[in-house]
Amino acid sequence: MRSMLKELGLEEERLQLNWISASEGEKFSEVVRAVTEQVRQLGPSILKPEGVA
Amino acid sequence: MSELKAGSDIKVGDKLLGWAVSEDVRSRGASGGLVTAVLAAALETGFVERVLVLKRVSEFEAYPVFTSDVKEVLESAGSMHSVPVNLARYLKPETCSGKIALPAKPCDTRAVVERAKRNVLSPENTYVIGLNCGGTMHPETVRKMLEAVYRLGPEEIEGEEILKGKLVFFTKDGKEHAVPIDDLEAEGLGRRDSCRYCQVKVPKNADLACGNWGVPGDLAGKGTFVEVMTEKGAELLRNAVHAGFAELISADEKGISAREKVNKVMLGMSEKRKAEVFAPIENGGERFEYFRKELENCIHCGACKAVCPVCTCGEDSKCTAYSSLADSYRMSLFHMVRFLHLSDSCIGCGQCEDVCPAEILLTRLYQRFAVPIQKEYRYIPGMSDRTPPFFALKPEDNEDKEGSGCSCR
Repeated sequence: MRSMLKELGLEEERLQLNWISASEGEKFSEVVRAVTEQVRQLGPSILKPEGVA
Repeated sequence: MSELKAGSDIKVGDKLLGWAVSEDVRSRGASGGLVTAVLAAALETGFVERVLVLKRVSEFEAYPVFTSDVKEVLESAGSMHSVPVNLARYLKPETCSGKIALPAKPCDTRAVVERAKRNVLSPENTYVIGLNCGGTMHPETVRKMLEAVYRLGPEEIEGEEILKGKLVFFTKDGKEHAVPIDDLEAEGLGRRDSCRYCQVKVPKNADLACGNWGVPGDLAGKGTFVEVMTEKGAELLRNAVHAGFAELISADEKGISAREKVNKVMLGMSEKRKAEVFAPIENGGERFEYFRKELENCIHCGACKAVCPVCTCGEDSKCTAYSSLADSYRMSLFHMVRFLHLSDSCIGCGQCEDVCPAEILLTRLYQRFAVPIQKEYRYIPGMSDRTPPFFALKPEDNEDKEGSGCSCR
């Protein structure tokens, strides 16, 4: 899927796959924070429609 | 001329020349009517229950029918370059009961193989008579060509044939009109886009591989070259010979090498065209813009999915369930799901772009996604019974016979 995202001209870092068990609350929050930070750095997606915040 | 081959002598790997015994079949069918004779014999003797053929309406129109009527098979005879239908799509659980035989160009054959892997048809009960194919033409393009280049009306045409790189139309007044295909294609006419970069011209994945390539001069137009690819193919031929429908002789070395030569020339042309059409777009932003622009006219009618011979999902499918026009910001989500879904199975048959009402060159887009993935797994869909890479349970299953391992991570 990552290579396909790349072929489409999107950043492959936008797609992340993690296995987190229901008992790993801390890991879950860490991953979400990391992904959010990663996406923030990449900036808005080129697929985002104009005029949507 | 060498001796007639006895039915019981036919075995896998044989390269033969054959024709129909009946004068009528010979005159109706192309190249001596061997394929028609084999199909008719299979029905007549009860070897298969039904055959799937194209029922001819005119030179430019035909529709697929399942039939047990030998007469209908005889009426379907002859090549039809202007009816680029993929018969494999019609083989599904609702229609497939008992033994079925069908004539199939390489893309039909590849679709049959892929459909068998997805359990919509039984490979044991499906007899595929492969036909060599240098390309087919969209009926609309044919009409345009006739008007603009040949200055003929479609109603004047009696027949058509591709001979020595020229597209020849025979008119009802008995005249021949020939124009080199290269000249037509330089004008954007000629064969379908997907045929021009097609990579399989001789259907070695079928049970029999038939065609007029490799037929010596004295038999030209009167004989068919056939290679027996599987035991099922040998059974079909034996049946036709025993029933007295077809006669076969061994092909000579000259014919065999001539066939290879034509195949090589055709593949070379495809390779060249492929390099042109699929020139890589290095910059990610430009790639995105390319896909966005190509897909911007998509109206989500779903015709490309409905006609796709390797898609076996039916009504409930990921591409339709997980996409709506409202969610498709700037680019069709429907196609993005399909790009992924077909990346291991797209055979580039061109059906999707034939039916697209927005005239998007869809096959190019699908192939752009599929070819790198198929290369990565060294998997060519429809050419063998190997499990599709995404269905493989163990990484070892994706190792090919040459030995080097799978590149999945």
